[in-house]
Amino acid sequence: MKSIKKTASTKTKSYYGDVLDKLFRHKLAIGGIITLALILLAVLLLPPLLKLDPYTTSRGIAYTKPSAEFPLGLDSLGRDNLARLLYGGRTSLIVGLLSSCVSLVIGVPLGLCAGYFRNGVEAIVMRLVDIFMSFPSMILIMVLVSVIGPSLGSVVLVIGIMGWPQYARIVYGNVLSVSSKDYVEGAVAVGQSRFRIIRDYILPNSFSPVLVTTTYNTASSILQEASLSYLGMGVLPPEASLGNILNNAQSLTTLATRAWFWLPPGILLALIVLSINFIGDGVRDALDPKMKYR
Amino acid sequence: MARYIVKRLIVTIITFFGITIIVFFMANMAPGSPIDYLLSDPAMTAEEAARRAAQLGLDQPVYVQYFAWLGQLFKLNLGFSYRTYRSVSDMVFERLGNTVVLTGSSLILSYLIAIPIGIYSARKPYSIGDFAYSTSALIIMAMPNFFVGMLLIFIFSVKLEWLPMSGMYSTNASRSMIDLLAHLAMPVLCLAVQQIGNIMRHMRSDMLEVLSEDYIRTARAKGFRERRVVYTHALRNALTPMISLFSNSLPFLVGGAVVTEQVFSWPGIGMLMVNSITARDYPVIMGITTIIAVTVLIGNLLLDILYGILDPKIRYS
Repeated sequence: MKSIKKTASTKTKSYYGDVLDKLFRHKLAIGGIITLALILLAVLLLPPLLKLDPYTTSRGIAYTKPSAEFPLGLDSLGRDNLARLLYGGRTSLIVGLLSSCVSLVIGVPLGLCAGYFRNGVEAIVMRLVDIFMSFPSMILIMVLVSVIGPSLGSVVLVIGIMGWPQYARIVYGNVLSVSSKDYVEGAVAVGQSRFRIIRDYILPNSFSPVLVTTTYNTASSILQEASLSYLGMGVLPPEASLGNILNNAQSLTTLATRAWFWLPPGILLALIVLSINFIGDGVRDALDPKMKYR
Repeated sequence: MARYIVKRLIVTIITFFGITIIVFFMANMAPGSPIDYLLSDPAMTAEEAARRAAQLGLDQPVYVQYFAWLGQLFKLNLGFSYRTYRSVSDMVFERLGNTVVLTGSSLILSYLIAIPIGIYSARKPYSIGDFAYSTSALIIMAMPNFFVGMLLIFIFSVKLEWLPMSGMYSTNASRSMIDLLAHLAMPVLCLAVQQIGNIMRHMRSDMLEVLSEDYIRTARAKGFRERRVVYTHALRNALTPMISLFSNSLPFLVGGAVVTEQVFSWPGIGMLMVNSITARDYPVIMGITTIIAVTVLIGNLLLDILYGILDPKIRYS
């Protein structure tokens, strides 16, 4: 009797309830969610609470060591390092989220069309994917941002535009495999419209791979922005970015004697990317119906 | 097989034209035309600049300029740098070698480290070792390249004083192999650690898949020793997908070390690119992007053909 009840209760659980359940059993994903939430809270709440100001220069002698007033010291222009660190973290999160949205908005429809309409559309979209993938993305991003003019907006846009081929590829492959399923062929046979077939069968089936791609893409966009700003070609000072803080730390004296200056932005960047990747792993495993509870 | 090669060749040619169009119009969109550049010389009058521009074909419509540029491209003439007045192809090819030395050694090193770890993890999945390797790979992959570079310089140049922190050769010493290796060590390590994780993951999942195949069970049933089963029967089949992984790292091989080259002042393509972008030296920027894309295209074509030969299942598809 007891065992029957148990199976009955698991059967009533919805698919997404089951997914959430699996996600919350994934220890690394939980760690990632908690870390990212803490970083998000710190980045959003600490600046107004502590009345931090990342822009005012000469608040003391350049490179003042950490003290009670400035817990992470001052930078080369006498700006508050803690404030710049938190604002830099904001920049990273904004770039990561917005640019993967841009990639998604371009890549998903193109992949859908390529996979569904085949023939001409497929040839054009997949050749475009080939073209984009044959460039080292960093070089193309550098050129495009400098052509448009470096700013937070152009960085988001360019990194977003460069990320679309991954979405298109994933969705395209998925559409091909879903289209050959019996229930889709059945729907075609009954004479349902193409729009309905895409909306009711193909899009819901593409949801999980797109979600997984989005998490990983967010992480790599954050790294690309940091690299670009480190090279002095992305988000430019006085705007703070974890990359341009580290650009400031390139001199040998800073590297050798002021670890309090360059370690925190690097560690914060690694923590953000790592926790997003852990969440991505968790989401991937949770959405995979073949993975059972461990 | 011949049909497959012809088909791939046609696709490659189409892609090549797509790339040239993108590169040309990207540079054309850029602010600061060559005429402005000519006018930046105080001795230049507006009439003289217009005459020079006409000489350079800059008064023609954009598509005419594109075909003129494309024609020169086929003659391997990539134009001249605005900054150094040298031929772009000379500038690019003398740097390309330095970059390939760096990225090539890092690729070799990362495959040499990642393949054994991948095999180990596949033989003992979900073991403590497997978990430790995959977690540390994830942590390193989460760190930006330049931060890893800064940490390496901090440890090996500042604290231990073992390795030189920048450049390709020491300025005062003669150009010896040992000197080159000492300069190469940190940038190569910096690039390699970032790739090990990815290669390792692929190797692990390919090997796991192969190890569950019927022919492996047959080999085991025949009583072959485990070593022989893993290293001859399984490994050969698990390595084939690694070719497509390698072809994905081709763009990296020619132009993927931009940031690392900057951290260690390595005189490669990436540094040339950064300097050219800062100076808005468009002929060089166009030259680098075209050469990189074409190298990648040709490399992909060759690897696809090789893949077609090695894996009979994808022929004629």
